[in-house]
Amino acid sequence: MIQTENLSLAYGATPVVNNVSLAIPEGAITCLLGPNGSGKSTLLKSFAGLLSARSGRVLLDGQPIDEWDRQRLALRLAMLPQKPIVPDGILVKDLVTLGRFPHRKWWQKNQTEDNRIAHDSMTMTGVAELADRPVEALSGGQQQRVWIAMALAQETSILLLDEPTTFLDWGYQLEVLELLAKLNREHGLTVVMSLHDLNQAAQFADHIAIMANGELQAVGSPAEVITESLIQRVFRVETTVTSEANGRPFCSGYAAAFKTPKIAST
Amino acid sequence: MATETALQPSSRVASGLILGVVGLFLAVATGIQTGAVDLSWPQVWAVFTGDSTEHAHRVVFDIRLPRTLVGLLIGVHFALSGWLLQLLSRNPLAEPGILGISAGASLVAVIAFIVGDWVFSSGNPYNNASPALDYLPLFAMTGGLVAAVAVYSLGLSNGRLSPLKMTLTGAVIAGMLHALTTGALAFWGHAHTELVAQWLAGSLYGAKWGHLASLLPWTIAGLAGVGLLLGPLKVMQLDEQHVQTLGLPLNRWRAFALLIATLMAASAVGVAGPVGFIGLLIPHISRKLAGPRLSAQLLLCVVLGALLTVGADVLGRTLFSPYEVPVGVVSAILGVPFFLYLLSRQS
Amino acid sequence: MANHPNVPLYRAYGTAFLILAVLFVLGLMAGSRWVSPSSLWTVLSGGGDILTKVSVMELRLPRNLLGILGGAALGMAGAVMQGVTRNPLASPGLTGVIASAALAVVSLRTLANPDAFWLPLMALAGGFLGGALTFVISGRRQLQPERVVLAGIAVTSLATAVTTGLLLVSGAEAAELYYWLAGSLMGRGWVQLELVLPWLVLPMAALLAMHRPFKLLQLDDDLALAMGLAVGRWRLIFLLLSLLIAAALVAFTGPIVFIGLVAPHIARRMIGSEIKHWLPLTALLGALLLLSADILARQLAFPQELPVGMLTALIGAPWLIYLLNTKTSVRSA
Repeated sequence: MIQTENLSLAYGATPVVNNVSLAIPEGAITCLLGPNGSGKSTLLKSFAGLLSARSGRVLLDGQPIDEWDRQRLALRLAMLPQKPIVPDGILVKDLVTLGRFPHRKWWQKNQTEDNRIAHDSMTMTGVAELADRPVEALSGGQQQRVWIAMALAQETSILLLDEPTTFLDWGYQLEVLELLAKLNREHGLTVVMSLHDLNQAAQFADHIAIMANGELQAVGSPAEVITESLIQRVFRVETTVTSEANGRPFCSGYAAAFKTPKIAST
Repeated sequence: MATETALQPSSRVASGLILGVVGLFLAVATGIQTGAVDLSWPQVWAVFTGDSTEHAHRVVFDIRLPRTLVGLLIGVHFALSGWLLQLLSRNPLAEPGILGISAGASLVAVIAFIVGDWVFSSGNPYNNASPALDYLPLFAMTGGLVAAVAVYSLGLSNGRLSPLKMTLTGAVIAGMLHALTTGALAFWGHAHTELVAQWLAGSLYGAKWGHLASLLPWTIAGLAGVGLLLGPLKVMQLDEQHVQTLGLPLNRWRAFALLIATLMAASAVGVAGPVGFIGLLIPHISRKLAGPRLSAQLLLCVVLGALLTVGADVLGRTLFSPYEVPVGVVSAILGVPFFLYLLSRQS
Repeated sequence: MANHPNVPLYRAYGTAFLILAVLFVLGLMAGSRWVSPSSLWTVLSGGGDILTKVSVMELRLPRNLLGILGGAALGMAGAVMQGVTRNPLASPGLTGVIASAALAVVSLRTLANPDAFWLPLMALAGGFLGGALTFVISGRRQLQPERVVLAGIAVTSLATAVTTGLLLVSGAEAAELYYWLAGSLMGRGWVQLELVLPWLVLPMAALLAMHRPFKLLQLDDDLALAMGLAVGRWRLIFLLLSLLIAAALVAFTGPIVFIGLVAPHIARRMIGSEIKHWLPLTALLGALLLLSADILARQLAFPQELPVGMLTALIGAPWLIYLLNTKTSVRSA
């Protein structure tokens, strides 16, 4: 499992994440929330060992992440970037099979087992019938499911996703989140993702970490974390948080700037 | 259009390969038959069966055959180099000429030639056989490598490769190196200016068996390197960070791909001068025919690269005969409109 | 990248003039025979020995003047191109104008043996074709900086390839043409200066006089149109004038690249967005750059001379790469 200890990250001289200590529970869905530029994506990249810490450290299974061999790491966790590049003209099945790369030496060809696993992951994400189509020709939601299939073919127990819903229509957003929830439920996949939408996080996450200005503001279950006072502080939005039938919080809000009592008094 | 490539890629690759090989055979045959001395087809046939005149035998074996074969290898070199560079930088405009690799190779080769000439034949202006000539591919490779590393590292922004920045940086460096080459040649070229100018135009004129021998080891090394790269290249088409989370040591493989691309381009420059645009044209045509399958693209690159170069050389020799249009000029005239077409399609 | 005027105007002009004057005197003294300040004074006041007199008055003076004039012309051509296309990378070199003009001159000198009078005309025709090709290809409406440069690269490489091919045909003249292609002020005297003078001075004066429409062309097209400026026509006039001076100069000095790119940028850094003063200051800085590069070219490899085009490329290319690294729009993939 992933754990950070007093972690600080920076791009060049610009500090982005400051002194974050956080533990990601195994087998759960964890959401990183926060305004743009709060450092949530950066934090996620550091979990994948893509950034080296300025101070503090990231531990995976108790071992500092930069001591992990890249290939061994690729067998433990998969990551889906925010805007992955689609290689020119590549077919769905070929892209998904690329997820098998860490399981073979680089000079080895794919074996039948690899093709079977790739096919299974396409079935799990519901893109098996698209296998022979070029990825570019698919809709945004289908593409995202293909990418998730590729990450599944990697057969890791941890999946990191950087804002997997940002470029999708609302319907596709729910589709992707439900797929992730299903994979978590049925296969015990540990999911860590950054999200924009508070309510989506509240609905799908078991565990939420809220970031602002590079610092960790709150960690806990959705009901613990999503409160009117915290949202007011982090997003500067006035909200009303109610409880849904399933016990998860739901917030409806409006920007604080438009509701200032001073305007009413003048 | 993308679905079209998906329909019958294998039959297209096969027909492309067959046509390419037939075309290449015809081009090689024409290359052997045509030239300043008229040879009829029966005479050419006679040379290979062994009952021809001494003269015809000489023309074919000492002049035309080596020249054609060198052209063939040059084509393979430039095409594969361009193919690797385009994959590596995810940039359809990448090419050894445009990225400054050929210009770096040319500059160092010209300097080596001038210095070698000055060291070895001073006092004897008639001694043209400067030993520097034999090592020209090596010098060219040094120059090409330095230019490639410079362009590559300047083309990074925040540790990520920016295709556009890499192209622009390459063009600027190519422009600078070109100015330096022209300057060096103008001021220290002396009696050899014409000879070097010929080479700088990208020409197969006077290519001998010796050139073939100095090129062949690099062809073999390059092909072996490309073979090793096939697997990793598939993954390297993805986003940088994505590649790393798949467990591929990206920087090491990029460096290796850049090394192979540079060795191939620069060794070819060392023999035939900077022939441009083959590395741009051929990978594109191959991709169009082969679709996303890298191994099929690779095969087509080899065959079509050889075909284009040998064909361009034959064309250059016959078009304005007795004048010879260097193969570099022919390929530029063919390649530039294509480059512009690609540019106009890029959004 | 807001343009804050960093230097007061009078100081910018003053410094440039002062350095130019010093360089001018230095340019008269430097050369294969070093002329001391005192003997330079004697020559300038009409005395001195014949050898010194010839080398100062007949060789170095016209060469210096050509350097100043040529540098100013290249700088202004670059500034005008950058201004009216609102493209920080536009310049005679990067848009293929110089290489095409050079191709035209080389073809004329290879295929015919013309009087020097025809050279600027031919260079102009070539430069115009090359420039037009670049701008048409890169899209008439949206002249995105990167696309213009990429199209310019293509036009340049085509022109260069054909030029090299022609050199092979030109036989005995190849060495001389090669020398010319390296770009140099060596051996250019009063004759060349006289021939090129009208081609440079008239368009430059016109450009300086038209600073009001030039200022409007910096704005958004629609905005300029709304202010009653015939944008298309004026842009064409400005581009033609800048092509004219760049191509005419190439006909006599050979291709000298990068000055048209660098000088406008330095000027902008110095005085910010004072458009009215941008052109004159750019002209001054261009003159300064070319003259100093020429003096360096005479001295660095003494007793031989380096081609000045080599030096300007050595100075200009790193500058351009620096520019690519600071400009934000180029950074995104």
